[in-house]
Amino acid sequence: MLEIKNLTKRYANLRGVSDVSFTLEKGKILSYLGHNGAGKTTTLRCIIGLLKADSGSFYFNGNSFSPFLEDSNDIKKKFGVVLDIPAFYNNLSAMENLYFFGSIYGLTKKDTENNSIPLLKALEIFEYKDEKVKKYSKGMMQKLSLVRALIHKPEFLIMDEPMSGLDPQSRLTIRNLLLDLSKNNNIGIFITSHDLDEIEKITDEIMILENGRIVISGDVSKLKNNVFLKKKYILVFETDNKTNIDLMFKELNCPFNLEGSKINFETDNNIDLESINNLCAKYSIKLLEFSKKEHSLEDIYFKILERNEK
Amino acid sequence: MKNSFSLIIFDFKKLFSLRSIVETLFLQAVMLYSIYPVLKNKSLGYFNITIFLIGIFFLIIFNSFYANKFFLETKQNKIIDILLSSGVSIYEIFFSKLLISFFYLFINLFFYFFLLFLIFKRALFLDFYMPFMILIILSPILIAWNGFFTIQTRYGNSLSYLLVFFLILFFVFLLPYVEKYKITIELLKSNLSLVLIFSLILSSLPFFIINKEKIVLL
Repeated sequence: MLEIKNLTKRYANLRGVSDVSFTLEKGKILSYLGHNGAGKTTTLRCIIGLLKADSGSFYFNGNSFSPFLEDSNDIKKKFGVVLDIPAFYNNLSAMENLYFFGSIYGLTKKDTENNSIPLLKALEIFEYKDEKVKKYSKGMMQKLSLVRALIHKPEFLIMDEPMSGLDPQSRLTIRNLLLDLSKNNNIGIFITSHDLDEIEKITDEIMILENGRIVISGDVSKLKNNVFLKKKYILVFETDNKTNIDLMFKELNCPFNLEGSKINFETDNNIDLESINNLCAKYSIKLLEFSKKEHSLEDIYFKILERNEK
Repeated sequence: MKNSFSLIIFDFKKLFSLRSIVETLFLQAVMLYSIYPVLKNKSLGYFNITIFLIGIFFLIIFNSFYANKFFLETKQNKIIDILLSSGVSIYEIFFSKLLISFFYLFINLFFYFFLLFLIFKRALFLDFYMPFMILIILSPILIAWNGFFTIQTRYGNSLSYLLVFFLILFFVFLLPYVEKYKITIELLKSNLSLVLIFSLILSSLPFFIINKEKIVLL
């Protein structure tokens, strides 16, 4: 388990992060969301020891450590890190780079091959392993960064914007690998991202950061049912008299959006099929379809930011 | 130290790449060409101090070259960020880059003096030996400070070149005073232990002021 308590980091002229606390468990994916400059990368860089936290405590499997200090280097070797910019020796081949980074973790060439080849295959870059990295596309480099982060079989994977700039196929490949790593290999994954759609498909928990502070955190499914989000419904109908629709929604006391024979509406109340059937019958509307629409992570994200702006 | 060993082995292997061999041969040719007129025409005393000063020029230029090759490459590609986050100490990185730059420099200077000795003035072994020793002793200062400027400042590359530029200007300025004040190899030779201490102190100073956070942020 990786635990961060009350992490604060400020820069001279810029806002950093304040009082950030969270726990990352093995086998879980924790996503750290926020707009540019919110403090995501600062947090990540404090955890991996690139920046010195002004205050806060760090625990690895219950033991306190200070990532910035050199005596925590053995603990940091249990992390795999993917930074926002892929960092490689561009004049060397992918495999030569992996041998080098493997040697940093004390791996022999054979160990590096054994650990990296299945990953290179899973990420569909195996056939390019002997190509110089400078010939790689951004997506391939991003995948290679992930292989490098995993060659020493880390307990935690810490990733900064791993999906940015990737094509849909590469996103799918990386997404599947991350899910496999967390569920089948029990690796705890901390991921910062802007890509809410992608995150929603893989994450167990999210934290939303705004102006350096965590404004909400928790299980995505629980957050979707959070009271401050209105429930979304879709109704498909058939009627000759559209005035009745106005009247029905007046009774429901909620605004609606009419698109042909389809209505999208949001309300604080729970509406079930029986009650909407009764209402439709009352206003002579033939109900063809009624469904509750799930909130997306994007809905939660913007709602929370909107609430905080108020 | 295990990490330093991996880093040194990795950079050491580059020495035997075709590119490195071509670079070394080219630099040797330039150095020998620059000393050739002096070898032919001048007196022994002048020759002695001149090969020393030309050696210093090349020491500075090599130094800039290796600072770029080892320190800047690590910083520019963000490899240093990955190494630091992978549990490699900043001191291990700095020390290994310094050591490997020194080794490359040693090889180049050694060949320069060895070829001079072998081809042109076989009888002057001691005259070649001392300037070589003094240059080698002084070179860690340049490497350490050039490396420091390269990785810990925002415009590391430019500042490193600026440092080299000022050092060259300094030696050009110094040249007329060499004969006037009789700055001879013998003078440095008699104070070799002082030169060594001076070099050790100045080249270890960057280790005390190196700042991991600045390297990452700048």
